[in-house]
Amino acid sequence: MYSLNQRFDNMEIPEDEHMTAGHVACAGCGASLSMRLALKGLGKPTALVVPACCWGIIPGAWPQTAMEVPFFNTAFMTTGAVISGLKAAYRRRGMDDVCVVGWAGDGGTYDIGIQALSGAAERNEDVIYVCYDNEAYMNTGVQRSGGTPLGAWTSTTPAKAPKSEPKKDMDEIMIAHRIPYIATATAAYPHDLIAKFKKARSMRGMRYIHILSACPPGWKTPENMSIEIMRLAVLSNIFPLYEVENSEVFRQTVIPDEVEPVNNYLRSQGRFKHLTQEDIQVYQREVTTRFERLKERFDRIAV
Amino acid sequence: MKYTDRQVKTPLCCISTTSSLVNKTGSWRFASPVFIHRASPCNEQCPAGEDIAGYMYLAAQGRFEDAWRLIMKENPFPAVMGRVCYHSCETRCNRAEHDDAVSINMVERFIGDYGLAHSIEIELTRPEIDKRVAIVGAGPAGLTAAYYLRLMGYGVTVFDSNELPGGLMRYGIPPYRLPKEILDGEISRLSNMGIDFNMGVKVGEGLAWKKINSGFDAVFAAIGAYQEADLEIKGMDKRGVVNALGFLREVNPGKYPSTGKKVTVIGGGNSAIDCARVSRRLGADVTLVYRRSQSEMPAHTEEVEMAREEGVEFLFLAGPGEIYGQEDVSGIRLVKMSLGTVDNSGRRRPEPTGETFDLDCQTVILAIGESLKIEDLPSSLICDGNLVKVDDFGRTNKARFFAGGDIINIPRTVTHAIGSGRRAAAAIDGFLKGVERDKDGLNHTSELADYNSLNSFYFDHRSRTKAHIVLADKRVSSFKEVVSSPSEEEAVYEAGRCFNCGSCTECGNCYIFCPDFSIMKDPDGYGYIVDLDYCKGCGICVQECPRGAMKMEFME
Ligand SMILES: Cc1cc2nc3c(=O)[nH]c(=O)nc-3n(C[C@H](O)[C@H](O)[C@H](O)COP(=O)(O)OP(=O)(O)OC[C@H]3O[C@@H](n4cnc5c(N)ncnc54)[C@H](O)[C@@H]3O)c2cc1C
Ligand SMILES: Cc1ncc(C[n+]2csc(CCOP(=O)(O)OP(=O)(O)O)c2C)c(N)n1
Ligand code: SF4
Ligand code: SF4
Ligand code: SF4
Ligand SMILES: [Mg+2]
Repeated sequence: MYSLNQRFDNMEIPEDEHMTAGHVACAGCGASLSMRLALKGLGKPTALVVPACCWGIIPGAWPQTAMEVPFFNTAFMTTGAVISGLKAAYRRRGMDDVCVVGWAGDGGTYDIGIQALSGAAERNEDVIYVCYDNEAYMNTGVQRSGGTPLGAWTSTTPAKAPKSEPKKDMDEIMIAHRIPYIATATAAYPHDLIAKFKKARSMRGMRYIHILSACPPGWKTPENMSIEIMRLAVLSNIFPLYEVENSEVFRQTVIPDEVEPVNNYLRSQGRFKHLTQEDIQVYQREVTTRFERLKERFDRIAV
Repeated sequence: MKYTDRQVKTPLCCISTTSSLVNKTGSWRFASPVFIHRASPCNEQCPAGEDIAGYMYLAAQGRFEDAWRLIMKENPFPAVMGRVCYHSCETRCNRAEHDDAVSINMVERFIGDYGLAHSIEIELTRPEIDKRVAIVGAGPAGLTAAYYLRLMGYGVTVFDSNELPGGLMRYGIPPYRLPKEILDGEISRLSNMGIDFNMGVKVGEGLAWKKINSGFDAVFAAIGAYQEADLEIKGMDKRGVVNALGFLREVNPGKYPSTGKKVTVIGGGNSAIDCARVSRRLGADVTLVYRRSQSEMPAHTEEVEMAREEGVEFLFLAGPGEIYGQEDVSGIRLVKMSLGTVDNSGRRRPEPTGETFDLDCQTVILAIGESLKIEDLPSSLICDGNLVKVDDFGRTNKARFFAGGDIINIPRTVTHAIGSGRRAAAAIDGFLKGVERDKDGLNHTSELADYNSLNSFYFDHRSRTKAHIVLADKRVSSFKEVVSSPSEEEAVYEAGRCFNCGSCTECGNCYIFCPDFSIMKDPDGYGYIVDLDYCKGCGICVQECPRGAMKMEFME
């Protein structure tokens, strides 16, 4: 491979795959690509715990599976608890080298699973919890979740009355738990995503990774645009890429050359089609304020 | 069914035992990604049709010999090209929309020099063909046709009236732009391939066209344009009035004619600029007189600027009225011009105002254009004005007779001459094999990799490398080259700026971004392939390919 004249050197991406084709994610699904890349960063031995969500069905219908690592389907609200138990079981059997990863949707994280997650974080369990965030309950037909952004259409927040509450700031909730590692990532920046999973794997204690994950049917976007849209989220500071260690050291890992207005991101998606120019201005202010608040903490040296 | 039976059939916990690979998700697809080669705009622009995207890719990796061989497929004079080509390719470079065009010509020059420095030879691999082609005129057009025909296995004999081959590359372009060693180096490669050179033979005078026609299986004529335009003013017979080509020809083989202290050059083209710059090097004060204004000058801006830096004075909106003096020129009377209505060249026509003024000088160089001497060619050829009428492949109205270079209707540049020579070689080959040859392998595919077909997010910003130009006062003190070659580091850097528009570089984006594990390295060679068993047709790979080397094909 040759990428001398490219921004990213793809030679650095690990070649090993830990899942296969034949999975049943929709065409252009950001969640399936996120898993593919995350596993490249994690490597083996790794065990996944997945509650009810798209990812519960993506590996295929029983008795098929696309996974080449152990993959446990579990109940919707239990991810935080199941990973804690599974890790304990592995440790008990002398298999402490197994990296236990919970992998849940935004519904399973922001809403129904928050209690189990918070408990696991508070106990500083030695696990990784990943929220792949497609910003609604996609598997059951695009219902609103706590992760759905302000102004978005979902099947329960129709265009006439789109979501009137802002997206819950789950990252701040996790930061308040003062756990060893928190990161945001997206498949549009695979090098960054893989590096964060590698780093998380090398650490102990509770680690939380929040992945923004485009969903063509749920976001009403063309299938080929998933990467472009996730990239726009980063470039417009809607989804800044950063990591936090011990809730003390904040580091922005991808700094846009030029910050894009939120307009380009919003206009690229059918779920925001009804927004007026004024709505977009409100949106822009919201995004700028949130980013400024975050930015204050970037690169602040721990004392 | 009893409870115990059920217990046997349904496990307590469901464990998947089959790979999802049995599930061929390719059946979901309604459009397929395909890998394609699109023509880069620079390639489309290059009069010789060089695969710029391709050789930049190789040069960026330091694979200079491979890069050199790739250029040689379209152009047998890379080191000459890297110096004298007007590089119009750069005007269409996609990178110009990003930051600044790639300095294509600079990289080409490095690669050309590399070929010379490492004495890379071209191997003749095709079986000999028992047919001979006559090439009349050893300028760039003739030499190029000779080269490609010889590579194909034909016997090739070159006839030229000059002492040495090269045409205007030798007897026109001055050595400060094209050193003779460089030209000799590239031409000697051709003579080493077994091409016969018959120098000092003027076809039509010493040797009849008829003889050539009957002695060879095909003829390629590229005798250049040497008929000076007439200037009907008083004093043309004075000693010290010379024409551009005659003047440059005298200078070029290393002879330095004396011009006297003051030289006036009439004309606004590249020849005029070269005459002025040569005269500066001979120690004269030079005034270049052009009848229109600077913006209408056909000469290239870069050349004009260099001449100005070298101390050439420019006088615009003035034309020659009369040359005066005893036997020798002692001055020229000039007529002031003003610009009138637009003529058919699209420029405003200069009109004499009647006002005159005088300029002292000992030499007047007329550089007002040359055309083909029709009488030098067989009379049966159909011409269009002063040019031989040919199709896109140099075929004239006479079977077996082909023409190219400055005598056909293409821009007068070395590069166009080379392109015409190569197309004619393809047509001659087709003719001799009895097949129609309408493709010349110029890399022109139907689709163009324009800026919109790229994903420029993947390219960061990098500034263009500046050419190394010798300071003006040092330049005029000799005929040494004024632009020096780039370093290897610079060439690699500059080649690395190229986006390689339309050509896959195996960057791996398509592979990295596929959610369905459906892009894989081609096990049989270069690039990637699509696994249509599983590809769902999302098109992310096509969207994220930085260089437009993929596209979606929709099914019926
Ligand atoms: C001063 C000057 C500077 C130039 N600078 C550049 C430049 O920097 N870049 C660029 O791209 N172009 C430049 N050009 C233009 C370029 O040189 C010509 O367009 C190009 O050389 C044409 O190639 P050709 O093969 O058609 O003819 P020529 O190069 O003219 O070669 C024709 C050959 O045919 C021979 N010949 C003629 N009649 C006969 C005959 N009857 N029998 C046998 N042999 C014959 C001649 O001796 C000559 O060797 C310049 C031209 C001039 C005059
Ligand atoms: C307790 C419980 N309530 C509801 C469901 C139905 N259910 C299955 S998946 C799903 C949506 C999951 O949404 P999210 O976690 O955001 O994942 P996504 O499908 O969007 O990837 C729901 C509501 C369930 N399986 N269990
Ligand atoms: S609904 Fe969205 S998240 Fe779920 S599989 Fe389809 S694209 Fe992926
Ligand atoms: S970037 Fe390279 S391939 Fe593209 S137009 Fe410029 S020189 Fe040609
Ligand atoms: S993305 Fe890279 S590897 Fe894939 S086709 Fe384009 S240039 Fe080639
Ligand atoms: Mg969801």
